[in-house]
Amino acid sequence: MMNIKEIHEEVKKCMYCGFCEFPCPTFNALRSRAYGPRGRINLIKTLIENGFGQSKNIEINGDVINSIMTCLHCASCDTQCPAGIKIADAIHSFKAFILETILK
Amino acid sequence: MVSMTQRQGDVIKELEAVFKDRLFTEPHILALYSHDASSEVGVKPMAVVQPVSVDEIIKVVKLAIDHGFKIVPVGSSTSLSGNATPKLENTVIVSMERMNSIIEVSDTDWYARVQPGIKVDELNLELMGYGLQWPVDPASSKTATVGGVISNGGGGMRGAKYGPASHWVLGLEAVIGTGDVIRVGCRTVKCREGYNLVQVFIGSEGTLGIVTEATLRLAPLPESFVGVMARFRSAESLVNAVIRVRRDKLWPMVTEFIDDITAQILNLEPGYYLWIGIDTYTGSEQQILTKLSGDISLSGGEVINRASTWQEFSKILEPRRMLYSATLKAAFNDYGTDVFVAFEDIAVPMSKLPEAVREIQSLGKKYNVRMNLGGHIGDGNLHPAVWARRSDRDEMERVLRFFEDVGKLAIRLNGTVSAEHGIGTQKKGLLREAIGSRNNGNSDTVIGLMRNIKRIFDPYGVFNPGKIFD
Ligand SMILES: Cc1cc2nc3c(=O)[nH]c(=O)nc-3n(C[C@H](O)[C@H](O)[C@H](O)COP(=O)(O)OP(=O)(O)OC[C@H]3O[C@@H](n4cnc5c(N)ncnc54)[C@H](O)[C@@H]3O)c2cc1C
Ligand code: SF4
Ligand code: SF4
Repeated sequence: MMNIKEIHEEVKKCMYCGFCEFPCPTFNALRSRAYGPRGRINLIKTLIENGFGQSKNIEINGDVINSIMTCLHCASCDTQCPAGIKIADAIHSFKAFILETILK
Repeated sequence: MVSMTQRQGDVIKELEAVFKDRLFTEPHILALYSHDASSEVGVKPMAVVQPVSVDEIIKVVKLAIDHGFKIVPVGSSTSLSGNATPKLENTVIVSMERMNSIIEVSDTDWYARVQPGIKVDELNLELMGYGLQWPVDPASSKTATVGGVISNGGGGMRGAKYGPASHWVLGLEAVIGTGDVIRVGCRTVKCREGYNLVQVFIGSEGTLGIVTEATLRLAPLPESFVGVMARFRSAESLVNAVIRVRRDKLWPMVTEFIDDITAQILNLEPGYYLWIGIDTYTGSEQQILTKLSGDISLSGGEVINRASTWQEFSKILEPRRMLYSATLKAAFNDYGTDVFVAFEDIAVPMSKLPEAVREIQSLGKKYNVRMNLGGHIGDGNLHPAVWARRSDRDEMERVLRFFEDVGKLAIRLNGTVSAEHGIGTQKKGLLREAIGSRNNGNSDTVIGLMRNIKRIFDPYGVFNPGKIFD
């Protein structure tokens, strides 16, 4: 599991090329950016930068939670990323963080 | 008086009636559509919609005319010049991701009718079953949509033989800025029906309308394939090999290269690397390989690997496919996540390639920027990549000046400032310079014509404002 700083360091590397969407089962089922790896890690990036689960009390909408929570952790996306981002683990670690924050 | 937010609220309500759960207004999700893969900074649009039919697209265009909002059509937002980045807040992104079906493939007439949201690799995987291909294969083919490739006028590795998107589109259906649906072009390669409006759309970067269907010209997959990977001591001798192969009247499908810096990042032995792949017929492989290898050694190169099938060639081409990730690796190594990376996209006539490579390298030294170089050398298309520390203003300034000068170099060598990535927002100035250079310093007449064409297709100024020209 990564901590929030480690997750941020990973997701910040995203160049937005979208290569990771090609093999993603949830993206291919829904054809919607938020349900693919690129969408998920960029949602996570903004949430972290807005202070989610840290000092600030940030409201997060069901659409955003669903998109992150529906990741299957299959790691197909990792094999495609030219920036070498550990996408699946970053999303997986952030899921735990969301649960911790919500249950706090 | 009706306030701005009240007006926006009305628009959202009307969009909701059409798009239901395919309308997004959640700010984090809007942010996902607020920029493309370039460094261009965008703004959050007011909404994103994902149409599934032409009727829905007509409706959103009519709403835009009535309510005065703007539309940016997007595929996968992988543009590299700001083409797909919204610049105004009153923008609705029309994302074509769900319109991704193949409507028809004709293996007799060699065309395919597709919706624009299908990705190039998805299409080519399907076409393989027919022994056919759509030979426009940008390095981003895994993610680039057919609509995006057409609208950017993209090209790729097979471009050395097949040329870019403009050679491979027979017909288009589009919704233009009056809300009308037009169908232009034919199903035949020969088609002389007045002005060629298909070509007007190609490379128009979403400024004239929304492409809703494309009839694509197809080519057969090669029966057989041979290729080599070769190393050279200098860029000059590498380019001479490419020229020698052309003089021998060989017509490679793939002619790609990387420079010594990229080779170093990829842990290859020092040198400049060239890949040449030729499509051919069973029985002639050895003869072509011998000729090819001869041309390489006569130019001072050394053949490192040979391939006698497409699968083998794909394997030996792997280091070239790593160009983008090699650049990112070096950039992250140097500056971590504070890095800014940008990719140039010029083309020069073949005879000017040695000069272009030499001058790009000396511009890199002049501005003391970190860079590497690679590209589709078979059609003169060079992609210098540069990286800098975002927080270092001086270095960022030097990178921008380097870019400007690389564009000017292309103009001076009778080349182009954009071979395949398009103009977007980032190359508007260079476009004017390029046009001016061919028109005694006057770019106004030609840009004026383009502006008038836009006005005819998009009289209310709905589509992708601020792109290509002001
Ligand atoms: C790593 C990497 C490598 C690349 N390599 C290449 C390469 O080798 N060759 C090359 O040509 N490009 C390359 N590109 C640039 C880019 O991927 C291509 O131009 C691609 O064709 C864009 O497709 P897209 O679906 O992402 O389009 P988008 O970026 O979403 O859109 C492109 C433009 O078309 C418009 N548009 C999109 N869909 C429609 C539609 N249906 N109707 C009307 N307008 C529309 C948009 O408004 C925008 O102006 C590369 C990019 C990356 C990140
Ligand atoms: S790990 Fe998640 S984001 Fe990555 S491919 Fe699998 S489902 Fe998609
Ligand atoms: S492949 Fe990597 S860099 Fe490209 S969009 Fe996905 S996460 Fe970002």
